[in-house]
Amino acid sequence: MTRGVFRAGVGDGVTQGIVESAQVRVPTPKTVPAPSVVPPQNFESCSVRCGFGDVRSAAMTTTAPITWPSDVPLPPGAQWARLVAGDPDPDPYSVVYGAGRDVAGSKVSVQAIAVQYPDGSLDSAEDPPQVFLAVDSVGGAGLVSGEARELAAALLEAADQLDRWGA
Amino acid sequence: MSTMSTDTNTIPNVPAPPDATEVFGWSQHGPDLARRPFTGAVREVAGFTVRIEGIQRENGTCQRRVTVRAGSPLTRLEPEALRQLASVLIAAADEIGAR
Repeated sequence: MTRGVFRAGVGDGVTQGIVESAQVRVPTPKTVPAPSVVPPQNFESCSVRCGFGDVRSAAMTTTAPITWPSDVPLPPGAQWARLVAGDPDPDPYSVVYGAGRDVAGSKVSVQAIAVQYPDGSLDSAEDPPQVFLAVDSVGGAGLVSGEARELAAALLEAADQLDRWGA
Repeated sequence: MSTMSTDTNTIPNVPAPPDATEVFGWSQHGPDLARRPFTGAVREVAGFTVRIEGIQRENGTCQRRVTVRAGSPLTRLEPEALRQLASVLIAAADEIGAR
């Protein structure tokens, strides 16, 4: 069973993701621009909409502070992260987000995501680095030529990001 | 193979778009030109379907778009799939850009 930290898809605009978090990690402003990425929408409610029963959104409520080593840097290219802990995974981990990219003129966004552990390593087995393709309009109005190229470029960028994360 | 679905009472005699693989029925709303949707090339890759869809007006002009659908909402987008999908999107963009 996968952790259920994130899953992605297109077609109905639904993404499935982090279900609980207690802290947000961001790099220092001196070295990395302030996070400009908006996480995929519907993270909190999508498990209901998708009907994925193994997602722990309903069960997990974390109120205690999460202990996380202060010297663990975000992986290269990550813009921000959320610390997560709780049932069924009491050990903390961090869901890290690459630079998101919206396709101009559409409601399509591409977001690379990975799971990082307190030792700094990235999960390569249970939830390997992958990409959200959040789509609200692709299946409907569609993309004009330039938008399709822009989406292709964003996908290639995201693939490179995943390569850097060892996907 | 083309599939024509038309209403001969209201439909102008307009040939289907040359790249259409499926053409649907005409409709008209108010003073607007009658129009009909059509489907062009369909490309499937890495669990995704990239389709060219368009609208043809009664004066023969067409608008085309690229649509993307996933076979499953659980499709994981890993590097190889991302690159394959990007390649197909570029091909589709080239195709509609050339028309």
